[in-house]
Amino acid sequence: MNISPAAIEKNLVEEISSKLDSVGLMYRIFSRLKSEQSLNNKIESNDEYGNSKKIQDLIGIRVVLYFSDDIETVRKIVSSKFDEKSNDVSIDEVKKEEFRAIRYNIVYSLPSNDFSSFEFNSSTDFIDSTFELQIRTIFSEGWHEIEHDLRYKCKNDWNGYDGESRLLNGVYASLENSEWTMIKIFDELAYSHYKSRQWSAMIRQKFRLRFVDESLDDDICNILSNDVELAKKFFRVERSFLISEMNRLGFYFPMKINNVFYFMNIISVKDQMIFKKTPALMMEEMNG
Amino acid sequence: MKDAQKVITLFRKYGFEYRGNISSNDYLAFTYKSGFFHNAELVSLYPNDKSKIEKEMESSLRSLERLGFSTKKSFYDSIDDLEKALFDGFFNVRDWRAKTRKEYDEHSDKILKSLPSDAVNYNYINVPYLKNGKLSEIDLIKDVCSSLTLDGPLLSIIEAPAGFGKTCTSYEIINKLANNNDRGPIPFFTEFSRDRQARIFSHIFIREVDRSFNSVSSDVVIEEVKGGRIVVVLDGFDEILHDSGSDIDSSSKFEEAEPMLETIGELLTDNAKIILTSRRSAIFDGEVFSEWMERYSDKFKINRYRLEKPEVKDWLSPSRLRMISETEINITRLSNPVLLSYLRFVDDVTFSSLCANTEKVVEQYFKSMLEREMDRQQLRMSPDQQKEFLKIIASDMCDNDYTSDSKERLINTIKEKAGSIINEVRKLYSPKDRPTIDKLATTLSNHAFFDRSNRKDGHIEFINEFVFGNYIAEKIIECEGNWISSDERFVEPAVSSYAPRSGAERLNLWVGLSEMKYFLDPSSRMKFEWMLTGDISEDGYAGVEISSLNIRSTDFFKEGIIKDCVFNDCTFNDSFFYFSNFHEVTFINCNFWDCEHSKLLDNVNFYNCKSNNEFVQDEEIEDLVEDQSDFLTDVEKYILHKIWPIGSTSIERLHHFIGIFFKTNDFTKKEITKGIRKLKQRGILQDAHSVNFVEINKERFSDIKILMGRS
Repeated sequence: MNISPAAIEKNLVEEISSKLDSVGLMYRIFSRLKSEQSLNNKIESNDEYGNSKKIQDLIGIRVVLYFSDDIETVRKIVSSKFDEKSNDVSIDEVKKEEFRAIRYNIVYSLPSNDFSSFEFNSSTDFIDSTFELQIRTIFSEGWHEIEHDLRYKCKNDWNGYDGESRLLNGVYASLENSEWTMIKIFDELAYSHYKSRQWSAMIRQKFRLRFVDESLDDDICNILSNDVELAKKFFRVERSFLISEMNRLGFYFPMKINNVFYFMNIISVKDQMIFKKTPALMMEEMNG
Repeated sequence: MKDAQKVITLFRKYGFEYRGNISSNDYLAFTYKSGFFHNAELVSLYPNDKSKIEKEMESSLRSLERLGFSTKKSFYDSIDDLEKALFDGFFNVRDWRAKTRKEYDEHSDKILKSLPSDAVNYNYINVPYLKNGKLSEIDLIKDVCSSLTLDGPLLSIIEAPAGFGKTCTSYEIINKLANNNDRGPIPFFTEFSRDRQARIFSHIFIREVDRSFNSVSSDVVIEEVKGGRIVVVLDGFDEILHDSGSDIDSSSKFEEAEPMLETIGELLTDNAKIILTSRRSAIFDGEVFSEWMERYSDKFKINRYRLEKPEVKDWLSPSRLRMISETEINITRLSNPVLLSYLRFVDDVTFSSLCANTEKVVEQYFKSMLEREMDRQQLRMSPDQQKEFLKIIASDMCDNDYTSDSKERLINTIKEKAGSIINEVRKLYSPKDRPTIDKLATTLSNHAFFDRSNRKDGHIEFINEFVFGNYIAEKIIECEGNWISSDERFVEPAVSSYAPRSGAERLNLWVGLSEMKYFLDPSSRMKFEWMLTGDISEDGYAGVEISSLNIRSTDFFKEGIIKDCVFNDCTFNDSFFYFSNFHEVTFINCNFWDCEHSKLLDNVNFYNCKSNNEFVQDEEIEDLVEDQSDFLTDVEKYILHKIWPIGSTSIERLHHFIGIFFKTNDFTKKEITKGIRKLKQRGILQDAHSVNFVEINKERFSDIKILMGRS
């Protein structure tokens, strides 16, 4: 059965979403299929297409994250599922002396069973068996949207207006600042909850995941309240490590605060008392 | 249920994850995530030990629930039960059947909308049809549906001219399937109409599948189609084929259709059943399509249904039938479902007045519908103005090659193209009641002659091909012979809707088509010439292939000349052939019932033809010479070279389309016919499954090699 690019696109979006959902990341996902017209425009725009290079973004997927510290994590997660074409990664370096739009685009090979039936008759010579993933944050997404339509697409309008151009970049700088500030705010808040022994709130604000419930079980809260040193260990679990491990071990349980807490204990804290509380099932499944 | 691996495979198919750690020897555990809901199902492997296993499941169950899963214990008696339960659950079979029935009801309402107000209920009326070339007595729907229960893959192709009930037939089929409570396959129905985007069948198919069954992946749907649990009904297959519009070459058209047919061919394995309806299209008559069928003939069966003209007696009460047959009118001309429904439902007074002047039936039908529309929508737009307006929309469709459009775009088209009519109409209202241009355009987009296409969200199209064709025809006539549309698809509805009109009106349409007819494929062109002019005599059929005509009571080339032409699979009734005007014409697999000819000449050839009189000379009996010599005649060599071209190392196909041998100027058709016969006598060629083909006798390979000097 020939699989249409649209169907492949849909499958990819589903697979990536399911991966990100199972670790509770906060994100939005968008995807688009290059229209035949824009495909042809691109092919015509450069003689190299069909010769030395092929179009790699027939299918483009964009994951837009709430938090900038998830960018690397998401790349790792997607790369654990699909083969990254390392030669075709375009990630702009962050330079200390300038603020500018950063690209974070990665090209992945399509799973081979999909490509074998990729149906784009005459264009096959021009299209690579890949899809492109762009990772962004919500703030930069907003800035990019505006910049794309009103500056990138009409560069001439900006000729000679370097001041304005610089100011627009400045907006980006302040957004990057705001992103960073926000994370700091949540960290501060988490720390305050730690100090006031609000354990559920501490976990929620520290780990910033899409939990399906509101609070830790009372008996766990009691254990933590009686042993603040233990609570500190949980507070110190690194967020990106937690998410990566969830992905590595195939965490498939509902994103209840309790479940994530048990999991943290398994991968990092390893407290015996908490082990006793942990459902056997999770012990067996996640003790990898 | 002892086969745990089978259970695991089945659950995985539907997106469950197998959880080995939670499973035991007696039951298997699966988890399934849908949205934010986490489900877990424990499936017993031993249904008879229910109470024991239920107890065993308890601790896992509690553990899963503590972790936040919704749990379920399952006991299935057999793999089949399990398979059915999963299918019923994921495909929402009960809701799906109900939804299909509702769609059927909506379809009935749509039909009633195009009939006089006396029409209160809709009934599908059977039309006569040919099944695989033979007239069948069995009710069409019954025949199609009962074939769906047979084992093995099956493709049913239902062909009918524009406006002869393809969509109605599809709806009858899906309704019947939907009413098979709990038993039998469920229908997956897609109605195609041409929109403004380029379309690729497999993409449309997958998109429709995804939209319809959104809780399972398209792979699962495809698997269930192959397994026969879902019957695919594709209505209006021809709508996604775009004719090239210039020089018509059936093989190039087929190339366009081929990826779609390949997709269908790939689906047709195991127990798959696919039904597709299409206008009679050159594609299905061409040699490449025959080859496609032949290529797949070992893989799946094909049933071809051809709907014929509806019979007046099935539609009208005996008294009305009597009244109408007492007039001098040729009632077979009225054999169109829309007109027959009209005649069935009009009141007695109108019916008698129509009998007095049956030439006016069509006109009356349109007039009464348009007058009713003024009432229905409180529209101050005269029937003439409505006609102008509908003509504008129909011709926009012909010019821009679409048959359905979103409501929004239709309203824009109305405002853009019919602005002056809208303004005229607005003047008829007092300033107080005067609708805005937008409002009037919106009202017109709800015209009784438009309807929502059933499958495409909010798309609007003409309510049926008869109405659509009528307005296309009006436009064609107005153009006085200069009319050319972007695609030949638009000609057939025009011709069909004008077939019931008076001779003069029909002729007008033919004159209007004088430019366009050169772009038609020759078989359609000949059919339309006959339908509109009553006979066949024009030039322009030189060197062409005419397929699947079904023509009665006509004179063939009383004037004019036809040459180098091959007729394939045609049926002629009660017709006269002026063979002195035929040069090098070959009839392959044609039937001649009650036909006569002036005089048989050498350059008219028959191959596999039948007649009920002396029309066809049985030449097969001639030349019965025992000729097993080691030499091939030139024509035999030519034929064998077609089968085994010089330069190729092997014979690629066993089956060969006969028509292809006739495409040469080196030999006369008669010589070729003789050559094929000789090769059959020699046992080198033999008849294939289909009469249009011959096949190589495998046992004679070595002789063929020797004869051709290739050993």
